[in-house]
Amino acid sequence: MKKLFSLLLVAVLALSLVACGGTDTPASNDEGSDVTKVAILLPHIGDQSYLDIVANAKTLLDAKYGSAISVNVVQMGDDEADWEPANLQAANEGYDIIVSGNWQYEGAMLAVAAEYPDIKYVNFDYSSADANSLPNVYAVAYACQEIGYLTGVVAGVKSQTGIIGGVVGQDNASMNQFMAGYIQGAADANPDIKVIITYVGSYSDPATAKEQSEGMIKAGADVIWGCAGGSGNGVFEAVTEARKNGQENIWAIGVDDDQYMTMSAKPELAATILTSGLKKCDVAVADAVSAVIEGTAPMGTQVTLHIAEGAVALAENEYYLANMTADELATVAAFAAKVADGTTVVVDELVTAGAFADLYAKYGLK
Amino acid sequence: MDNILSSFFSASFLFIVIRVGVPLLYASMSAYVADISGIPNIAVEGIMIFGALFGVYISAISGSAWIGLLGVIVVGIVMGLVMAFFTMKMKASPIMIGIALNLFATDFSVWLLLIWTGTKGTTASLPSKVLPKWDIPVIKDIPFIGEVLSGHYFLTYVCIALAILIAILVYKTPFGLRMKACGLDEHAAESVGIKVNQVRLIAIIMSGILAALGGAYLSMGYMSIFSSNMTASRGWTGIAANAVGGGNFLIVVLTTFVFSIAQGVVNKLALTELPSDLVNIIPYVCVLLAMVMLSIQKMRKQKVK
Repeated sequence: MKKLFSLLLVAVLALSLVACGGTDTPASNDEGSDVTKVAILLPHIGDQSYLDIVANAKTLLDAKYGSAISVNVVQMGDDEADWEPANLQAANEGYDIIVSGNWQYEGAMLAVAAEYPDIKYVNFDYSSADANSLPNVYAVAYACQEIGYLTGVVAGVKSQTGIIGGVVGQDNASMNQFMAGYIQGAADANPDIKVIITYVGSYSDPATAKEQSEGMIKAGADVIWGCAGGSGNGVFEAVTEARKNGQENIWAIGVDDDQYMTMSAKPELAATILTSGLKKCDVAVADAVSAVIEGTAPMGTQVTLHIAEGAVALAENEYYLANMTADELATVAAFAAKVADGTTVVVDELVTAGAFADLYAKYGLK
Repeated sequence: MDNILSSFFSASFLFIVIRVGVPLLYASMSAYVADISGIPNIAVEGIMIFGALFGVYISAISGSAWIGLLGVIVVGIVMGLVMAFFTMKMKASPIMIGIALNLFATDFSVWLLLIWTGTKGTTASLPSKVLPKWDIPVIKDIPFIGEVLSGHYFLTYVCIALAILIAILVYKTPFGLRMKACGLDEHAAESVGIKVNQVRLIAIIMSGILAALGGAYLSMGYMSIFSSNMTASRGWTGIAANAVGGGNFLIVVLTTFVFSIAQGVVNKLALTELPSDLVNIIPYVCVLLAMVMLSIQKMRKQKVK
């Protein structure tokens, strides 16, 4: 019995090896049909944030190309071990363009991309330029420091106390990239600004984020940017509570997605969200895929998308427009325009390490 | 810095300690009642997640926070029964069942979230209700004490009341003695006519309810929405507090209080420019220190013997 079992195990293992080694099977991606097959590979969708925005590229592409394109959003699962097999499978299913990426799972995509030079790959949010320099990969990234700059300008303009806060998921360079821009933007809008930054240490602990926000409000902060994934909801809760206690002019700012819209079923919470700093991955992916289809995409290169390309922006919904005066809107627009035309260069923590620490030392509330 | 130090000795800081401590106390009480009757419950974290999620969902579909709370208690009972079924009827290891329930709750809650709201992040799209805050009539006017004790969430007062009830139950009633007997030696307990399974069933159901209430505290008062994995290891902290207490309820409560103070200190220090990585580990260092103290104490006892 034991022997039979081990034989069976060997057979299964051998089979799976064969399956993994199937790199020489030609990808059947030019079967003569005119429909461009596009796959968007994500761990999952439904996060109301980042991943859903990327998945929304399907809607944009469908609207643009109609039946000339077939876009599939593939959920790879959250288990890292499944990502490379999922990429292999997609490569073997005859897709013309495969979209995936992000620092977490770009490795799985690039490993497969190297084996399938005929398939065009789009990395929707790359981290390592070296790894993404394959000739069939087009990689985009976002100027997150400019997202921070925009929300910082809004916070600086809106704050009456001259103290603003930032609740951050984790203390690392990519989060501080947002925060350095935030401080720079706020300081441009109000040179006397004081900033308090806290780190929750988790992207799924809204209760701690709420405690930290309350501490900031007690210290006088009246605009708080929640830049902490799921923890960010705690910021909205804290601001809601402060408003209940009579502090009317306290605001929160969201991130990634337009959080005023995603919170719409909770009017109390939504009412605290003045605007959100948007990373428009959907627009970026749709543009990149269009460029690949039209043959204009600079394959083998990496680009960072800025305010100028419309890839990072503020959520300018009706609520935002209703709660900002014409003067305030004009100020924000003027600062944004300066970044777009290159007059203002927003410091990038990922390029200049320590930029955030310097800014925080200067504008941090002591 | 002086500001920060002096703020540790203020009424508002104690208020915060109670606010962050309540979910921890629910968790440690949940672990305690199960542990002393002989079935270690390490599924506290998972049951908390379910309590938090179902409270929000049931309050949203029923339109009443109180019916939501009732639902939370039912969820706690059901989870207790599941635990009891597998450990007592199927004779499975409580640790294995605990691990299974935790893993199950983490993923199943996200799946339910997807079914109910279409998203995996939060229940922001559900019109859920929250339990009220209470101002205690006479106490709220006493200077210092009023500031500390009044104006908390409803479930905070339930937590304090339950803590007193558990202390009475365990130390002043025959049933409490039976619980401890079952925990110390089930065969000895059986030999003197204690219905071990019955006692344990009741204990594990109590444990389930306590954990579920701890979860509901987070999503139906402290916060007004459920967001995935929002318990953020509070259940595990409770289990650690219970382990430090070693069967002594007072020490369990005191340890939980120390952990709460540590969390409160973290929230205060987060506002300073101290490195966040260093500040955020304070509660965990406390847990570690408590564990070390526990083993030193045990070793000394053994030496005396």
